[in-house]
Amino acid sequence: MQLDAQIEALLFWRGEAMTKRDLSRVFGVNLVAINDGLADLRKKLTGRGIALVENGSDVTLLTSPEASVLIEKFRKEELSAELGRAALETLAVILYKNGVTRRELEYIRGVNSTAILRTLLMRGLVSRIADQKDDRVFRYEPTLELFALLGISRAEELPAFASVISELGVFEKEPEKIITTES
Amino acid sequence: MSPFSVQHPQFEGPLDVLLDLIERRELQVSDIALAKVTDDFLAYATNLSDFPLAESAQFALICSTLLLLKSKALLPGLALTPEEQGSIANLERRLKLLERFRALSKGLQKHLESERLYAPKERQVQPIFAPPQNLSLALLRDMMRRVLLALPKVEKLKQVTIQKVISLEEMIENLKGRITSALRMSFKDFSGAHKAERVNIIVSFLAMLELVKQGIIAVVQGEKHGDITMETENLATPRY
Repeated sequence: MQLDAQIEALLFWRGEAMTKRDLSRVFGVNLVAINDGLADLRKKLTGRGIALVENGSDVTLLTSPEASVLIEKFRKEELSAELGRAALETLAVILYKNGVTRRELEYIRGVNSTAILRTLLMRGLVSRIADQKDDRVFRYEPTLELFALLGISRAEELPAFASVISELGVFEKEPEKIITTES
Repeated sequence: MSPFSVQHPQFEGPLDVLLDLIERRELQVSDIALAKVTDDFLAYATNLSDFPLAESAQFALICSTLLLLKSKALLPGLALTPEEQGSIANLERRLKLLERFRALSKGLQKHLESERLYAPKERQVQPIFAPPQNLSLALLRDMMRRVLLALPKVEKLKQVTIQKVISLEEMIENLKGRITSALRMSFKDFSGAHKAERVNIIVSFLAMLELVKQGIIAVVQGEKHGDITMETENLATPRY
């Protein structure tokens, strides 16, 4: 495969800017060869939906200017669409538990939540932080902006907070109960 | 004798074993091939320890189909019912399918070891606070209620004692006993008395007397001029 195609594959996969110096190192060629490759790629991308954007040191693949109206439309749609029931249920769980790990969330809802979490993150409704006990694990917390929107200052102010928490508590302990009664 | 021995590190289903046996002999799936491997398969099935109960129905079905095939091979004149023919066709069809998929899976293996494609790495997106229009505490309370309703509840299964049922062996013995001791027929049925000509009835009667003389049957006549019942007692040595 030619150098311009290889650079194209790498930039697409990385999804972010790379320095020309890094490219030179990765492909084991000098900067002149890299610049030639980039020139080839630029030429081949004319009229396409993707554009090669570079300054002195960095280079990246972005959507082409001709596509900006289209992309804007999609962005606005993504950010203003109503949330479906599944997303709202997920948000409710995250709110009442005042933050959950993905595993806790999927245990309660019983379904995979990857896509929904991505949406909620993107729209600033939840944020992701490393769990205090294990920094490989992420917790998803309601954002302060969300609290503000809902007119509450803490999770405890959610309607029927105590009863929801106690019902969830029963459910989360139950597996242990099952094991002991059948042994 | 056939030096056939099977060492499988893990349990293989009956279809797999059967196909192995056929391929080992470098045969095509066919009636003849199946008849040839019947004994090997039966030996495998009988010697199998750790017999998984779930598979036993499958094994029984395949064993009986193979026996049917072998019987047909040995007695070409044997007439098979449509249902029996269907069972044989079914087995062959399943084996041919298995054969096809085994071949295909080899090709798949090669693909798995070759080039793969990659999706772009996950992007870090800068979040913008963009809530949906209708978000409210009431709505979220409702949603939480739905989540709680959908939680699985612990169900205690009722415990029932299963009654002991007569075992298959006992049943077979029972049946054998009944058949050998209870083969009986009325003379009327035997001679087709109502329909046959008189001479046929006489011949039937003489045949019956001969069988009695040979100790093969016993006869009982309940009432004068009544019907005669013929029974096989235990089929021991004939008495003369």
